[in-house]
Amino acid sequence: MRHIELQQVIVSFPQPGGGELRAVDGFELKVEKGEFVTIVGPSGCGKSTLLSIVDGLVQPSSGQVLINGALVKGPSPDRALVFQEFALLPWRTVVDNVMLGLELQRKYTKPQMKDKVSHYIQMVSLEGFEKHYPHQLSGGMRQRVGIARALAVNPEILLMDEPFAALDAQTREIMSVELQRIWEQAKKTVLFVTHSIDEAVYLADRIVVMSGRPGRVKEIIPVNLPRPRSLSIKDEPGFVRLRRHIWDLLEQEVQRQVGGKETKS
Amino acid sequence: MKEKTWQRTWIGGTAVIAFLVLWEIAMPLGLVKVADISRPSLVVKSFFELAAAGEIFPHLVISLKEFIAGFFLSLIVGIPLGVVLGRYRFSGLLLDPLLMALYTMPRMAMMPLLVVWFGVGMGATISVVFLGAVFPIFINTSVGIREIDPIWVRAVRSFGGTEWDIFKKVFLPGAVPPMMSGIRLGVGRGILGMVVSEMYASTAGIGGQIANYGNSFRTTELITLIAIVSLLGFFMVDLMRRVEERVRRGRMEGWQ
Amino acid sequence: MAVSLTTLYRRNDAFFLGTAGLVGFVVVWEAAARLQLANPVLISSPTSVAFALKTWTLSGGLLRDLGVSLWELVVAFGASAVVGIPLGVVMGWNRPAEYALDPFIWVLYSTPLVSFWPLFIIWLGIGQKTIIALAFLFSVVQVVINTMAGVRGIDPILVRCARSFNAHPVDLFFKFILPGALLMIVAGLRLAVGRALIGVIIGELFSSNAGLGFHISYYGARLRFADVFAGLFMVVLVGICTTQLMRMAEMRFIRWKT
Repeated sequence: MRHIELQQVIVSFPQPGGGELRAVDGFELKVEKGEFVTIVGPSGCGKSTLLSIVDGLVQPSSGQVLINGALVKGPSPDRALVFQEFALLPWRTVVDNVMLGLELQRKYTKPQMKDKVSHYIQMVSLEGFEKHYPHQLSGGMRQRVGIARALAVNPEILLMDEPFAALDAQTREIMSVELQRIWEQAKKTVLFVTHSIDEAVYLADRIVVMSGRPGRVKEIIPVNLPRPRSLSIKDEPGFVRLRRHIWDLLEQEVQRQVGGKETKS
Repeated sequence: MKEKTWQRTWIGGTAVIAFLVLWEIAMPLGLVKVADISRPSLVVKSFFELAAAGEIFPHLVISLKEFIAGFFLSLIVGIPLGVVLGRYRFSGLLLDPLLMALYTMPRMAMMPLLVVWFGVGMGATISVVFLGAVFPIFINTSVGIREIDPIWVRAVRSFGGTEWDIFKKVFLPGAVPPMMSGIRLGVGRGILGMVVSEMYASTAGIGGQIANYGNSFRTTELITLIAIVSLLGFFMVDLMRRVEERVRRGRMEGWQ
Repeated sequence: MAVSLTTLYRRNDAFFLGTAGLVGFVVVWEAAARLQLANPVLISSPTSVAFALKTWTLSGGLLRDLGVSLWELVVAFGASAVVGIPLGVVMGWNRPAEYALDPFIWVLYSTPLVSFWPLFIIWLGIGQKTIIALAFLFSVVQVVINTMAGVRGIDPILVRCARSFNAHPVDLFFKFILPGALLMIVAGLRLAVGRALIGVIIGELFSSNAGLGFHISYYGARLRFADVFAGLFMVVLVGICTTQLMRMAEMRFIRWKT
């Protein structure tokens, strides 16, 4: 049984002027347990919508999403979302923010939660910052809190929606190394959406390249580069070839979008 | 910074003292002949006399009772109302002109109505305090709710939070700073309402006493009472300001 | 080009919903009175209020009362602007002046100014003078505070710029300070006009023989609530009109800010 399975998922929204806008069209994907799958595609191809669907926040117009063979009906503790904008509650300290998911589960007592939280704060290298407030942290640190929060509920699946897009280029690089380290430690299945081809190749076991709107799977590319990967791998021929290939695919899509009907995301 | 506060106290203090001195000598020196403006020394003296005679504190207690009742009412009505109006745009838009019209109406103007509806004395005063305080409270609360970043709602939902969770963990804490400002403003308006209503509608309470002394042309006692009311207003607002600061500091500096 | 009703609604939903709310309220009120859900004497009804308004207008009383109140309002407000703005400017510009006068402004701001009414009666007697004095007091505090804040909040870079051009203090004031502070000052005036109106009404309620407040108090004493509501309606109307006028003035000044 596959861990995650998307079968012919179609997402469309009714338009105010009549007709419908198809964001995702006939999307098919199978993800194994423990895999790191990145999804990369042009703007507006519905990547973020896909994550919402897998998470259960949005229902597909047709098609189905299965997790461990069961239909996805709503959010559930076996998956957790990491947001591009961090989405931390500004009035809570780091500790309280990481605890948010656990609180909502209502499964553990306060001391139990505190234990778990400190474990994950350590995992994301934020010891010493427990009592800080989000506004006192840098972007990279805030996202680490977001990651810790997602990990704290011990999900089977991590859904990451362009989590590093709001960070500066250098922090982004550092964070992707960090994420890889954390993932090797935590061993979750990860769906990682990104704009950045570099990120997509660096982090992935497999890369899903999406077409422009309506979003479909254009190609699924396995990444056979050995792990653990250091940043210098980005200069190696295997990496460069993959990057080139994905860029070519995306270029086609971008031309197609610009040349044809101009659809705004 | 320290020098500025020192300067401020120094110059301000001197000005106040100069004022008091001028006031004290104005009448004896015949500077003011047209009216009785009394003198600070007499005012202080009358304060102790009145206090001893039980003319001050019992009335103050009555006034405070009315204030607390009215203010408490405005909290339990104003905060939920603000939450609903802020959360559900529909209701906000529907009720907006009505509430605005009510807001612009001077509560004093409604006194004849309120007195008949709620009775002379306590009833009318409590309703005036309520009307005064409830508006800033629910307006500020609704604004606070409206300004909640939807991403926080989404985050809580993605972790399986129910509507009640969202309310408790996002809307309530998020709206607290503006709510506190609203409450502080409400206190000021509530005190105002309390005095106004008592002056108009009753013989009890501080306002009632002010009206009495006014009617009997006892300037000194009048000024004493005005000073007391002034101090009361000042302390209440200052207290609320401190509470607001505390709440603000206890959570996050730099955010709002 | 046909614009569907739903689009029209969606674009102006605030207006439609607001109007619906008002209309709904009037309907419920009328129904409550007709169906005797509450004592009609106590709550009156829209129709009787409308009738009361008509009588009031036709008898010429409305015009007279309106005139009296507006006159008091204009005098009090005008005086508060004439006194308050220069005072606020001085306090905003001159630190020592601010420190000296601040305690007094603070006292006036935190005291329920209504309590001064009996004092004014003793000093000025019963009459329009007293009402205007109270309204003046209500209004001037607001003007001073806002003006002070406006002058205070001038971008210091502008001041440095003026000084670097060796601007004469008078020029500095009229060409740099005043225009910059104007926004705050006008906003303060808008708030002050509302407070002056409240002062006028309160004064008239306490003792007068003409004016909107008097009308309310007179009919209130006779339990003729339809007339009381008519009076309240006029008060709210005046309040809205004067505030709107001030807002329009504000708009003209905002043009450069946005």
